[in-house]
Amino acid sequence: MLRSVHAADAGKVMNPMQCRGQTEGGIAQALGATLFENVRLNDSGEVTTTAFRQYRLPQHADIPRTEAHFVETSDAIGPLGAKSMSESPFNPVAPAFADALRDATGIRFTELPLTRDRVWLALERRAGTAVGRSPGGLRPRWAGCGRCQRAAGSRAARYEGNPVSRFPEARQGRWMSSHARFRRTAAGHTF
Amino acid sequence: MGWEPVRRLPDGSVEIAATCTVADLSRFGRGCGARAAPLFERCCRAFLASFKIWNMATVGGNLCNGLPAGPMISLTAALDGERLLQAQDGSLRRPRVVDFVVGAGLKDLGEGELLRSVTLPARAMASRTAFRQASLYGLGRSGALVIGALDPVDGSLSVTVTAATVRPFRLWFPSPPDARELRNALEGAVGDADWYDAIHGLPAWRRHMAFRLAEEIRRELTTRGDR
Repeated sequence: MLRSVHAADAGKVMNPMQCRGQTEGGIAQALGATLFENVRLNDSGEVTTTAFRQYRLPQHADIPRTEAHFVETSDAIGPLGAKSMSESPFNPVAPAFADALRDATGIRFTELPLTRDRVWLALERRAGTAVGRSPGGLRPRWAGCGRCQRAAGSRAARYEGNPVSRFPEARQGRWMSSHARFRRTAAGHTF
Repeated sequence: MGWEPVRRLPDGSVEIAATCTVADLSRFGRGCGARAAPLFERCCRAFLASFKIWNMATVGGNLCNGLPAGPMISLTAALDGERLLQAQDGSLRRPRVVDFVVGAGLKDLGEGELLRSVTLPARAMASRTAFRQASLYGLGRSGALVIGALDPVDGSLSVTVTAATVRPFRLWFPSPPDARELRNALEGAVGDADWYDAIHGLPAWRRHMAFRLAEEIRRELTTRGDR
């Protein structure tokens, strides 16, 4: 992550410092869900990732600094024109990363987290060099938390097949969204 | 226990007490001046740990957990370390670290046996080393950790693969191999079931990274990278 920028419409912001804190915190939570956290279930439906050793939460050092910008609008219902804020910074993070990956690889990933091994495997499968069907298992026995998010374009969490995009070529170049910006990596990038 | 955390023995070898903390080991590595010394810091930083953990976690604890991602296992196996185990009847044995962890969380540790120390031979401490690590995340929790050591006396090369595998695999070559020889040796040594399948990395990815990192190490440590 080269840069993290977040624009929020919270109407009339009465406490910018607290609102900025919610923004940064929401992004940190979302980065966890997008890049780190993975709940696994066994065949009986029991959670097997029951300790922090198996469930990687982002630490402070994992989180980039975020520029938070507030759009000055007004809400007709909210007190003094304020809107609710709280969870909303969480929402755009996963879609931003998924869009960036789509732009970089041509593959639409429909499952979180977007970890390096999954990206690598998808690229290998598209290249036809992956060995075996699903080494290590990519079946999404994934129970999200209460605020479970779906990446853009995803449907059910059931994924058994090939995530290879229908689009034959990955676009080159930089990609920037309103939230996250990172550069398409060169071919030598280590996943 | 009152054991000295790390000490340099008269023959040049380094004895690390089981109770040596990660912080103590890092401090020693930064000051010891041996050619392999930078490897100490690299392995300490391979932990997913803050200074609080560094001050409490021990080399012996990391070894005795026997987890594939244990960087102290990586360090001591790569430098051909030897463990000192003491049984309850006082008898001692000194097996190699590379033979200590036999599977994910499985150790060659007898009932009631105590890990007293790990000794790194002087020759290994004089080796030129290379370190590579891959993780799903920016920090910590290695998915693959590969260390190469070039012997200063006979020019032999060892490549030790850890974290990607359920136990350490130390490959030794009398002379630095070419890329094909290294690849064949890895393929022959590590079976499909040996690639670690856990939450922190798919086995296929770990395998890919282990091969890639081993080749990078080979290139770095050979005189000419075009062998």
